[in-house]
Amino acid sequence: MSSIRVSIMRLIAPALLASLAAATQAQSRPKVSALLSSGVVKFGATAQLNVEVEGARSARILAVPEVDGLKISPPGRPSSSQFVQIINGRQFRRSTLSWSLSVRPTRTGDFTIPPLRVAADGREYTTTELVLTVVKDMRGERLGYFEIVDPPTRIYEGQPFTIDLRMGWDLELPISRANLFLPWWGQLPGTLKLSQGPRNPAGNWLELTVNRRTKVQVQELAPITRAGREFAVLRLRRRYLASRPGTLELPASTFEFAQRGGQRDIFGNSNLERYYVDLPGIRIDVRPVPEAGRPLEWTGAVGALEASRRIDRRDVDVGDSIKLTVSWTGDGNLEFFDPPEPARLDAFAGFRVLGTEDEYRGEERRVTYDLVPVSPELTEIPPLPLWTFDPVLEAYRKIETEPVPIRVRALEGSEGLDDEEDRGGLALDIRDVKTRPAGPPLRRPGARWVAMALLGVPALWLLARILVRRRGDPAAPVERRRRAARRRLARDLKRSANAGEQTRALVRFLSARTRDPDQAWLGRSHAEWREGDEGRAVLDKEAAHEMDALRADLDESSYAGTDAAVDSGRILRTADRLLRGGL
Amino acid sequence: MVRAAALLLGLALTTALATPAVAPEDVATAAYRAGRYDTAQTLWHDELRAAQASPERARLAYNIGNAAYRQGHVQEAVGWYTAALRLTPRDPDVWANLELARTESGLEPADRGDLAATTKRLVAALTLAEAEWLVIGLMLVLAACLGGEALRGGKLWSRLALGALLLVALALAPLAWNSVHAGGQPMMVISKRAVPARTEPRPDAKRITELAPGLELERLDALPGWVKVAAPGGLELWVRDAAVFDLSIE
Repeated sequence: MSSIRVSIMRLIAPALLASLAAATQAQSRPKVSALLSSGVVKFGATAQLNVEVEGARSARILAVPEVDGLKISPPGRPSSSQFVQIINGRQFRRSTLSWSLSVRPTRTGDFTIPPLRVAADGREYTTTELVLTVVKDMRGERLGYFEIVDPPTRIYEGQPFTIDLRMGWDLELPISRANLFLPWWGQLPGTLKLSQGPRNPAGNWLELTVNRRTKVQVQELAPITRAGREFAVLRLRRRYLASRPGTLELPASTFEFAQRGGQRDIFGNSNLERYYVDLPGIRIDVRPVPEAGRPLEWTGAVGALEASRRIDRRDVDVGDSIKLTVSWTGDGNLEFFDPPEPARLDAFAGFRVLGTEDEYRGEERRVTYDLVPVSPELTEIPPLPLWTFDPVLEAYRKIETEPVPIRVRALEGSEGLDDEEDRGGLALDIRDVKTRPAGPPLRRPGARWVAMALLGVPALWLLARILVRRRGDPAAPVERRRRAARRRLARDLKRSANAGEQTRALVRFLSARTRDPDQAWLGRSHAEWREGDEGRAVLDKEAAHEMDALRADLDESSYAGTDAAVDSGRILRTADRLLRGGL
Repeated sequence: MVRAAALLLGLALTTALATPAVAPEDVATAAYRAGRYDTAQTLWHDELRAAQASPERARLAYNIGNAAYRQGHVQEAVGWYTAALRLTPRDPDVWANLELARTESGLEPADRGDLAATTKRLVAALTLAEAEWLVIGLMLVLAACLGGEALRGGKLWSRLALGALLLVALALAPLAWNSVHAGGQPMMVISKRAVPARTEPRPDAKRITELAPGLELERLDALPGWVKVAAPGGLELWVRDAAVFDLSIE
């Protein structure tokens, strides 16, 4: 018996071990799943696609499938949860990563969501295929409505157009919430959003949410009756301007409204019962403004416009200012065209345009021209034309203001500003032609003379410098004293009061000119004075005698006791003679 | 009868000889005053071909510029004023009209007023003859200062010589400018828009670049209807001759 038991155990044990190992392996492998919150949703509502990865430390969704007719939101960060279980003392831990993607249908029908690719702990997994059915909310269609009033189908480039949405619900329903899903909101390429103008304060305005993000003001209109039922009416208007030719596509939109249901949750809050009404998409063909027949004066105005005018005064003097205010109204690109310029119009030749003031007031373009009549012969302000392309007529049309009769009185003693302008003139202009023949041209000295000057002057300077420096430095003190000897003699003689001082001045002069010390000229005979080894006489005989006579007179005056000064002029004349003699 | 005819002929000859000849300049000015700007322009053109002296050529170029301006050819007027300015660079009338015409053409002013433009205007303010005389005159001053320094020495003469040398160096700048810009055949783009420059003188040749209005270029070659110019970047390209103006009227 025991041998049989042992044999059975030997057979079962490997099988148990194998199954345990398989179970352990299965438990450690991540489990990936995807599930829709509902297999059937109303058109306009949103389904949730929940993706879960169980038993993985890290995971991410590799790609979100693209399904025609469904808009699936991109995955964000996963939410993580952990579940711990203890059975017979053993602890089981389970961790889960999950994503919730919103799925919004853009049309009704049956849709297949292909498997999602998920990477978990380094390996790739796929979920199962899912099926979603989108059906029309028949009840919502019956209890509410959503429509666009007179949608444009064909417009011209530059033409403004209005998207006028009307939506509402059965007034018997206690509606507590309403939303709009407009895929084109803020994303209409090739258009410019126009201002709405001032809001009518008299109307009742409500706030709706568009695309769960933007809050907009909608106007509540008077209820309407449809099929014997009374409906609330909300209006949302937006004005656009087509900025380029092509096709504008507004995809299908959805109006959601909800009432509180009868069931309540554990907190006592009642659930919302939602209804959806869809609005089919529309296409708008934008055509270019035709070139054929386009007048040169056309400045970009498109639309069916009307013009009116008014002026602030009709009886003025020449030079007075008249404010002409022109208003253009109607369905057109009022804020985008260039207003006409009277200064460029022949009809306004009798006026000076001092300036313009341009403003746009919602449904009116108003331009004020500051006109000054320059002639007393003017009797009216002529019509101001504006060329516009009328999309209804599909032709260019000229809109003119009515002429305005005025009276312009001449200033006393003046014939108008035209004459004054002719006499004075404030405009910039070229200077007059030169009628006198120009003088003869300045003769060129030529490059040779310039080169000679540039090279010759430095060469001459160098030569002169070398020659002069051979005799010594002309800037040395003794040379400067020698050059200044005559001036100093004259100065010293002016200051001299007696013969002794005159003698000292004369000795200083002689010593400076001869580069000898002063003592050398005390008692020296001028006639016998020799210079150098050759013994050449420095002074000629007459000059030497004159000098000796002068010195004798000075000595006599000094030593005879009177010490009276001799004539300074005589001393200077003698000195000049010595200088001329080569001293 | 024959005597009467001879008398009439003699009277006519006498009258013709007695009437002073009207100078073409007076005729051109009269045409200009009468608003016949094209006639005035043609007459001044003829005079310009015959004129030799630079001041007279500058005056005629200025007058032709005025006639072009009055006819609405503002870009062409810019070309004529620029050409006149090359001959009389300090003429205030030419400067005034040039700046006005450039403004109306949408070009930036010839003298923008910044440091570079002011320096250029100063350097280019003298003609070649004036620049040469200025250099020679300042060299004489320098010679006097150097003579004093050589004969007398001392700081005063050295400083005077240094100052004179500095003046000579400054005077060499206009001389160098005129020497560099003398000769050649400068052209100016006078088209209202940028002018396409092509590799070959054919309308279907590839457009390499576009030359901005007011740009000054050197003419390298010419063919009927086309001019080869040295474009910026060292390129040698062909442009339509109607789009460029020959500034070398000296």
